[in-house]
Amino acid sequence: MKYIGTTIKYLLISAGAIIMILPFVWMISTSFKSGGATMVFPPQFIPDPFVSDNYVTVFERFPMLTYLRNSIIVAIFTTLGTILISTLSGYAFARMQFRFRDQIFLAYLATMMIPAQVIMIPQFILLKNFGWIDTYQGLIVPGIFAVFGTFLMRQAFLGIPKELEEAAFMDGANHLTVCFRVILPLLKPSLATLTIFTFMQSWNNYLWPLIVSSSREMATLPLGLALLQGQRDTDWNLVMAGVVISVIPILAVYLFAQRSFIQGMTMSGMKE
Amino acid sequence: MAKISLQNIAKRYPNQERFTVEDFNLEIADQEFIVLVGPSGCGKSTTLRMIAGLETITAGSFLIDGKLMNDVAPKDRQIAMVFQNYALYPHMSVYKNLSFGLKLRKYAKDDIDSRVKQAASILGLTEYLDRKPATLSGGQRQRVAMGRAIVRDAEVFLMDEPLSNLDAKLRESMRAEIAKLHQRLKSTTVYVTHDQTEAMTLADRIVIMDQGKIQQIGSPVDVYNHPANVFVAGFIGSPAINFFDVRVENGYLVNDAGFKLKLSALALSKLPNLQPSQELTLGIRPEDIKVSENTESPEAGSTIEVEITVVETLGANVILHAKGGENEFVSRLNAGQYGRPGDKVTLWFNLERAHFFDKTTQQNLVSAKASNGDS
Repeated sequence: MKYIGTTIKYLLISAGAIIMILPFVWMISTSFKSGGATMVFPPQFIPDPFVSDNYVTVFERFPMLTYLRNSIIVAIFTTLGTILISTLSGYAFARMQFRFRDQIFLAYLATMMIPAQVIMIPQFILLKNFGWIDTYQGLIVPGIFAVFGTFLMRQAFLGIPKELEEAAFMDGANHLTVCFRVILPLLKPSLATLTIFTFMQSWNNYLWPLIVSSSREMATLPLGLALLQGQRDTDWNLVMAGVVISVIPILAVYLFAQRSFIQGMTMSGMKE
Repeated sequence: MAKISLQNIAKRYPNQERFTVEDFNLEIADQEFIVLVGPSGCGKSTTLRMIAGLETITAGSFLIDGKLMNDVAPKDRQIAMVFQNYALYPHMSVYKNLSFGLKLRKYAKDDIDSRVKQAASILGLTEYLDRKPATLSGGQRQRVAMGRAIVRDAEVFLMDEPLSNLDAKLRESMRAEIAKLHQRLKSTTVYVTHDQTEAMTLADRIVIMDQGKIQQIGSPVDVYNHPANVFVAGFIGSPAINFFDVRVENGYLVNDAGFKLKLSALALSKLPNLQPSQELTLGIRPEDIKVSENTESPEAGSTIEVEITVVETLGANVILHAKGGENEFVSRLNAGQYGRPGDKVTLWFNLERAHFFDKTTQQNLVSAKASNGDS
């Protein structure tokens, strides 16, 4: 009797897992199919014939390496920039004393309510005046001022006992030392979260690169993947090969950040 | 060399009406061990944090060796502090915890190494230098916190309830170690605690605080034998002092709850300004109340008949709780048999060692000077 509940639970969870994983399996499967096999009915999960040339073809027919390079540069620098800005501002909002601190923080938070579409055009005009259209700066800089990141880091800083900073001040530290050498190493879980979020967001971002980059030279992967789709017909096997290539870095970042996430969770040296 | 001078120090937090610390005056001599003691919220920690530079000083002057320090940053004050929860850096090994401050102050590498090793050997931490704080016991963490202060050879040590997170036994042994350490390093030390035993055993001078104000400054013996007011008398001493609201009538101390004791000539002589029927608070320590069978021929009128309510046997001592009329008495006696709850005994009061406080001002009616003259 008691196994019935467990069995039902596992069946439901398995169903959910299959629904989640199916598109990925379909993506990988399609990326190994021949052009004709992508649309057959009933659908094939195991490609027949098994074609691995798609991965070569997609690199030959499109400048995938350029897209990949652009995406990596943009995502890495956006992530680093976001971490830096969020850490500094989060620390300031959590720990430094200045006039109207909390009001400024609330106003900053309130900007989350402004839809991205509203500021898109002004931002574009601003960057045009800077001469940043179709440049890496143009792709990176607007993305690093993340309100969410500041909020996340501020909350994380607030969770660290004040004595730790005070001990560091007595030891001769200044605010920057306290922030980066004493507290930040304790915030690995938050940093991991912020890294995953920011990297994924930047990696998957389509609209802003579309607006700010105009040449193929500056296109990122999502733009490139869009270019793989023709107006009248699409080689889905090639598109899926491109998509698989674009997913791998995200998986790598996720696995890497997850490790420090767990490490951070198990660290504690304070007497409660 | 570090003399500390606190002159009319006051602290008021923004948006608060009451001063947390008020009119705080204290001169601390070089190498002196000062203990700030008082109930929670009395302002002792705030005072310590003002000395450390972690709180701003609202008013008054704070000087080290004659130099005004009010606006000097904590790191430039030559002060080391031990925190209540130790505040060790969790991600650093013991070695790094100890060396962090030296590194920030740009000490030479060899110098850092020898200082850390020396501090570790003083504190018995040598074998733990590679460990992270999370793997240490409470006592070991406490030592690391102390070590972080001593590697720097700071001129002033501040300790904010450093033993309150330890269990009773460990607290006792660490207390002795702190005393030893002070004898060895001779740094001027300011120590905050709410534990009167720590205060009594460690201090050269005790500063007793209540509601942001200093109640008394003096050596442990002084504050015990000559409490300046009712608060100090009640705070220092365990079991706590007995208080009775009494008035003077025809050479007797009496109250409506059935209290009646004859004022001895000696006790009377200490109170030259006593008015007839003046209201007093009488304070008498448990060890100055004895069961009268054990004293030789008590003077008439110096005893009270009571009924035992509780007997606490502590090995070397017996604490006797008793009731006479509406008055409750606590007496500390040498080990022995004094009876059981419900038994009647006669208590003898050593009024020569009693304290007399004005009922309204709460101040001791006998100046410390006068009572010093007696002893």
